[in-house]
Amino acid sequence: MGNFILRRVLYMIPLLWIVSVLAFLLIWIQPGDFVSSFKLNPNFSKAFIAQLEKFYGLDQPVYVQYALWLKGIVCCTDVIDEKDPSNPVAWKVWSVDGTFPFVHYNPYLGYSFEQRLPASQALFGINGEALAFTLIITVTTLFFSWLIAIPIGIYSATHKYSFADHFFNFFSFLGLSLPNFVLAMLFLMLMVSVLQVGARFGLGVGKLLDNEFLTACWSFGKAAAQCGPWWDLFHYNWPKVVNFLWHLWPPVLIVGTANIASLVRYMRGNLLDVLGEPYVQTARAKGLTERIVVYKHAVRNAINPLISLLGFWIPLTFEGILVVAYVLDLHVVEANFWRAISNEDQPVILAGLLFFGVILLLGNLFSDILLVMVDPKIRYE
Amino acid sequence: MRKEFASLSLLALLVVVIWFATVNVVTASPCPRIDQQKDLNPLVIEIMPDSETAKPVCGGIMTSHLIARPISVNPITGIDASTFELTARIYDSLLDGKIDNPLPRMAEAWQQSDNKQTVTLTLRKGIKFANGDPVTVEDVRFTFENLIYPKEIASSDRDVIACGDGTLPVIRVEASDKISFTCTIRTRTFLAFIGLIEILNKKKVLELVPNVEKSPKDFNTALSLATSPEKMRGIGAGPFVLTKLDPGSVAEFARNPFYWESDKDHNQLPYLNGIRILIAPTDGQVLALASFRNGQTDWFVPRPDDISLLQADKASRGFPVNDDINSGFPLPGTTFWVLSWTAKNPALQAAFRAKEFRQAMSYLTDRAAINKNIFNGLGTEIYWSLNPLSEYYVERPGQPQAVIDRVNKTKFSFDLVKAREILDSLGLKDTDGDGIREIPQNFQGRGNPAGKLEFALSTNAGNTLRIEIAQQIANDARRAGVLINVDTKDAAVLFDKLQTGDYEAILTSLSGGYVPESSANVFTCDGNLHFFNVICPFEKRNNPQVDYEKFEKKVDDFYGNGAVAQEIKEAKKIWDDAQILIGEFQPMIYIVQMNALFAYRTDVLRNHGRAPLANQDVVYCLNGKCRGG
Repeated sequence: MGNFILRRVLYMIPLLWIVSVLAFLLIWIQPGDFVSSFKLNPNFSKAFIAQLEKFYGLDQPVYVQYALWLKGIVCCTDVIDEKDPSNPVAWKVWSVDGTFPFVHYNPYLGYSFEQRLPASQALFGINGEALAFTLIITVTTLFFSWLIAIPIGIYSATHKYSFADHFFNFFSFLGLSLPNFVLAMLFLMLMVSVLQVGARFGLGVGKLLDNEFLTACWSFGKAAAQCGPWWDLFHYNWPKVVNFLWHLWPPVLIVGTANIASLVRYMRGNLLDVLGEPYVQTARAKGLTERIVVYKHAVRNAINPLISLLGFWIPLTFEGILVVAYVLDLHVVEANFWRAISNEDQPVILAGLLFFGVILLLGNLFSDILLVMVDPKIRYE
Repeated sequence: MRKEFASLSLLALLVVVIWFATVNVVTASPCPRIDQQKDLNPLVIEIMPDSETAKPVCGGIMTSHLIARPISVNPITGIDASTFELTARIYDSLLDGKIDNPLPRMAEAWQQSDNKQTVTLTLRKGIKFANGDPVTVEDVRFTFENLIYPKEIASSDRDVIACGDGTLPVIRVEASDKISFTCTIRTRTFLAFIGLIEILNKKKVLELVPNVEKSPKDFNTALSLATSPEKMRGIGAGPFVLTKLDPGSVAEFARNPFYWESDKDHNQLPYLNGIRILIAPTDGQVLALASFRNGQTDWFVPRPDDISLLQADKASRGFPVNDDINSGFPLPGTTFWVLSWTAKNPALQAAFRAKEFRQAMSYLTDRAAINKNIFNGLGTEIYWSLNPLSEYYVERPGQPQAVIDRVNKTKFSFDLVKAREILDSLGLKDTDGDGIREIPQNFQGRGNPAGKLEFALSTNAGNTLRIEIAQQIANDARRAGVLINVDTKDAAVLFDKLQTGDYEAILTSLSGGYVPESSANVFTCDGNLHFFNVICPFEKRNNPQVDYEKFEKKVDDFYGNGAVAQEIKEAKKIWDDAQILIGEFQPMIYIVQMNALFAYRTDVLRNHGRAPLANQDVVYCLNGKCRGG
């Protein structure tokens, strides 16, 4: 198993390289670059712009620019800045005369001139909280949708054309046809106008936290006004965690609803196909109980295509979260990526493309491992 | 037994009394007393007691929404409204900004010389910054001479405080509490505009930007969103201090313990313990409505469509919202769309520089439909560069017929036929039959290649009203063979593009618009926000060749003459001519100014004056408890 995973991880390297080349070319073929927009700005001297162009290799051929960008990600950047003693020197790699807060972190993904932040911070949040929120929402949504969809799909297939099957079919089609942004708007309306959660229970809607928790610490440090490390469970700000959970379920439910609808259709269709196979009839002829026939023989085969689709499902979930994040103002990676696209913030778009590429590959790796575990026909070799 | 019972009853009564006493102490927390600050001569504010509660109460955190990300917390280089929403809490100015009747603030007194060219301001006694540092005349001098005067610093303040001849006032420290400003010529608005400048703590600025005296340009990027609020504490003397800032989420402010205003009962202002401004840059207006209806905010600025929803809430479930959401008068400022004379696409640049082309675009702007369909009629169509409420607005009552005739010639009301005629007469025709006009090569001798008449009109993400207006303009333009693609961007990015001229068209708004002189930073050739033509060669002012260069020179002259006009009648005549000229050249195509709308929780907010952030020192929440706590 270990060898299998190692081999698959090694396979990912050339794939990631191809993704990075494609992403870089995609940005490069766009007219102009982020420096060209500063050439008219009186705040930026010609020397400063030349310095930027040199640093990013913009005065060099495209392959040199790519090599510099890649070097920043896999290794390091060249110039060490020691002006700010509050940051460890090893992490801080470049600054220009204090004119800009050019504080960069490795892996160095570039600098967002639109947001005046390193691209990694612009994409993942200043303390990485956007990345954490994205991963929590994505994983929870996937779990939620699979836990609900698979049993419903099995039930629908084994009770074909029953009332329940028609009922689930109806809601599946409804879930498929309702866009996520409509569901998010309906959710807002339901919470605010119908249930009046704010007026009745003092509960907030939108964002991932209530107002009073937005800047509160996740855990408390030793001093009263100091935040502790996020992993310090013993000093957690539990009211904030509970509040986060209250804000977590709407995106999970909204994105999950669309996922569930698709997954139910897939599971039902696959299982119906498998249930018609001769080996299932043989199992029944052997006198096995229907439960064993379905769950031990049919479902294990019917679920395999879904597991192989898991890698594909992760980006779909990201896409769903993006739309919901826009309406509910969720501070997640997808929202930052969308903002970068709309603001033509090239370094952040590039970082985002690479990030989503990595996630897609990791998703595929995960689904392959899972497939090997559940399907005895597939070997590690 | 009886004795025991009596003792126990007494004890219980005592407990109840103590409990009530404690509760009272907790809920009605006393306001800090201004007399605790020794040697301070406080600014005493006369507060009109609210009819529902005779006495203001201290405490509470007022919460509201902002729909655009701020760019910085720098009051001198800031250009966007969102930045000023933050800086106005932190910093304070020498005087209140009334042109004809300035009122004291950080300066408690002032004197003008006989020739009105010198003004001497006396600093308020005992006044301190928010960290307890005393405010000195050196801080005032430093703010002007080191942070505003250097040309390397991108500041609109410099354009506004300049004397009529473009020179900057000469500053002299007269005494430990007195500082004078002298202009070479007598300028009418001089005192008021000097008084508007927010004063920064020199010591704190030097801590943040140690090299600023030698390298002023470093200040351009100082006080950014990445600057820690802790490091900024005490940089201003405003009523609040910034405590937390997440530019995509929230800005939190706490009461300044050294604030120098009080009410007549010697209670130190502000009444509020804090202010929380939620920042929702994506679906901002939708979320602002949802948050207000859900009880998460104390007030917000609704869209016209939201009014009926709020009224329905009030009728159906008794939601505590005011009836007078619509003020009936236009918001301050002006809303417009602007074509960049320095657009990167050379064909578009050639077209955008043509006065007649911009007039055609103005004809294509259906202000009446925008007002009716998007603002539900709650707006005022505008055609000239000032707010309709300004006493200088050229289409004001009582204008002589001769002026009205000239004004009407620059009033380009929606007329599709005229727009088409102008575009045809310019030679911008659809030559390939795809429904979109083409810009011919060397259009009006500008040496450009040929190109399609297709451009992007950008506006604020999250501002659904502006997006609808842009869409309406694009739809009408399409009918005249002009393809406009509407896109949205963060406000910070829009303003970056405006400053660099790196855009094709932008729909946005500017604040102010009441006093013509205050827009010198936009209209004068070397103004900090001269965004319609960021490359305005100053030397060409004296030798203009083409019509747009002549226009720039004339406008500069108007701003020079308008500033030194001493009589209001004379000034009005100059500004009438300036507006007519600007109306003819349409550097900005003015649209509709929406009415000031304001919705607030009637069960919470008091003394708000329909602008809680502008009245931040005196606004308070009932029982000291706002929606934010």
